[in-house]
Amino acid sequence: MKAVAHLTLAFLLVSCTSREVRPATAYEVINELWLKGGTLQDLENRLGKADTSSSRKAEYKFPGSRVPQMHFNFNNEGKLESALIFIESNKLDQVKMIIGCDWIEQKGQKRTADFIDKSHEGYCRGKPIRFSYFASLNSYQLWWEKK
Amino acid sequence: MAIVGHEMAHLLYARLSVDDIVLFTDLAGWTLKVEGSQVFEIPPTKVLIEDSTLSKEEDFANSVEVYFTTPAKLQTHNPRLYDFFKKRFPK
Repeated sequence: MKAVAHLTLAFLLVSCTSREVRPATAYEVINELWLKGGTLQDLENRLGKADTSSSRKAEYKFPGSRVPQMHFNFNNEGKLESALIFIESNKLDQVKMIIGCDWIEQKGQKRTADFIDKSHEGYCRGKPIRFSYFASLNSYQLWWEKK
Repeated sequence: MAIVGHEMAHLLYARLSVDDIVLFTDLAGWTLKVEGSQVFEIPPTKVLIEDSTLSKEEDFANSVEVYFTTPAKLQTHNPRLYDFFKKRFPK
């Protein structure tokens, strides 16, 4: 009995001390900095140096590309005001859960020229956060807007 | 046949990975610009078929169509884009 108790205690100690800390995803970082009004410096400390930046804007491109993957706007005081990130379709549910909103969603179809694309958009009840399917990149654009 | 290929390419576009679309965007000469809280797409100045400027997806479908029907035309117009398709649809 004593041996079992020792083993259990050892297992608990190992599992509590060796658990890896999952690195925060970009959208978790953005959500956190947007909520607290982070600066460009805060952003670069967490996400690395932006590909282009000025006092009012910063942009991160898709690796090896000219296409923006994340875009940030700062206010006069240099605080993060709005942010955009393109996320893969299969990550949307995970992102929605992490942001933790009551999501109001609408799904449908949209005709463009000779083809029909899906349309899917949603917004967070009580917070200016919204997403919409962006067919052109086969991904979702997720916006944190001016509060 | 060209029309079938074109319409199939539209279906294919919705199944492409973001990485492939980003690569196509660069190779075909499209520009994505974020202004305020809106995303704008600026088409390339020179396109293969006039309605390619309607959208990137239309440009993709037109490029697939040309790749299968008159590949030399695509190779002359945009050799790197031709290679993009050749790698994915070897003949």
